[in-house]
Amino acid sequence: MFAEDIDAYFDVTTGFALAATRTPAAGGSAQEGVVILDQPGLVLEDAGVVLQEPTALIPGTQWPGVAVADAIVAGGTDFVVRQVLPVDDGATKRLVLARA
Amino acid sequence: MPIAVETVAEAVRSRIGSNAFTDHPHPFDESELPAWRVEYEEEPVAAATLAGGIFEHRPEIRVRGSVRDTADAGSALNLIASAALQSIFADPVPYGLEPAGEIRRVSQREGEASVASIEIPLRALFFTSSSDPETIIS
Repeated sequence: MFAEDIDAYFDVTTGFALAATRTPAAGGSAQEGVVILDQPGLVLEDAGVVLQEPTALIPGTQWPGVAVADAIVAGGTDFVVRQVLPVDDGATKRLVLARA
Repeated sequence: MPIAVETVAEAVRSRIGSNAFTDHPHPFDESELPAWRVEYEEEPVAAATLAGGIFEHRPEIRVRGSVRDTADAGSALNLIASAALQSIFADPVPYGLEPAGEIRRVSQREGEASVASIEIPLRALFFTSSSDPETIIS
């Protein structure tokens, strides 16, 4: 039986991930983890502004309490979590971010 | 020499400041924010005298501003809007500028949710000679 293994994607050496830390907005110590960071461009047509639309993909079991307003540091950039979105069967979660 | 309405738009632009543009058709990069566009659209024109020769212009001037602030884009927008309105309507108000409808605010809800924009409709009043559309008489 096939068992999916996503660890290879989240390997910071041979995969696509970066080391990251999460600091809960509700208080508590920083937690280490890994993220696959994407920062595509976005054009807001109404405002006529070009922005970025950063998101971070994390393993579904990582940071189980991650929530809106949590601080994330990845790739030398500070972010704040805007949305927490489970992906498909929950093996991964996508965090919609804003650059702090 | 620009057509008369361009002169009016430039007067509004210069009152707002160096981050305001009458000729920025492409999207602003976020590094340019806060920033303003001053645009003119409809320009009703009518004869002002029975004998002809003088035209009355009432162009609609739209002032659109955007700001980026991760913490509170709405408050940041109100700050720049207040400053712009004070500058535009500082005495003496040029070319009979007056508000012309609703001020509209839009806040980004998706993605970073960090950009807010405002649109301020204005109307100007000026006169030109029928033979010289570039020169504002009054």
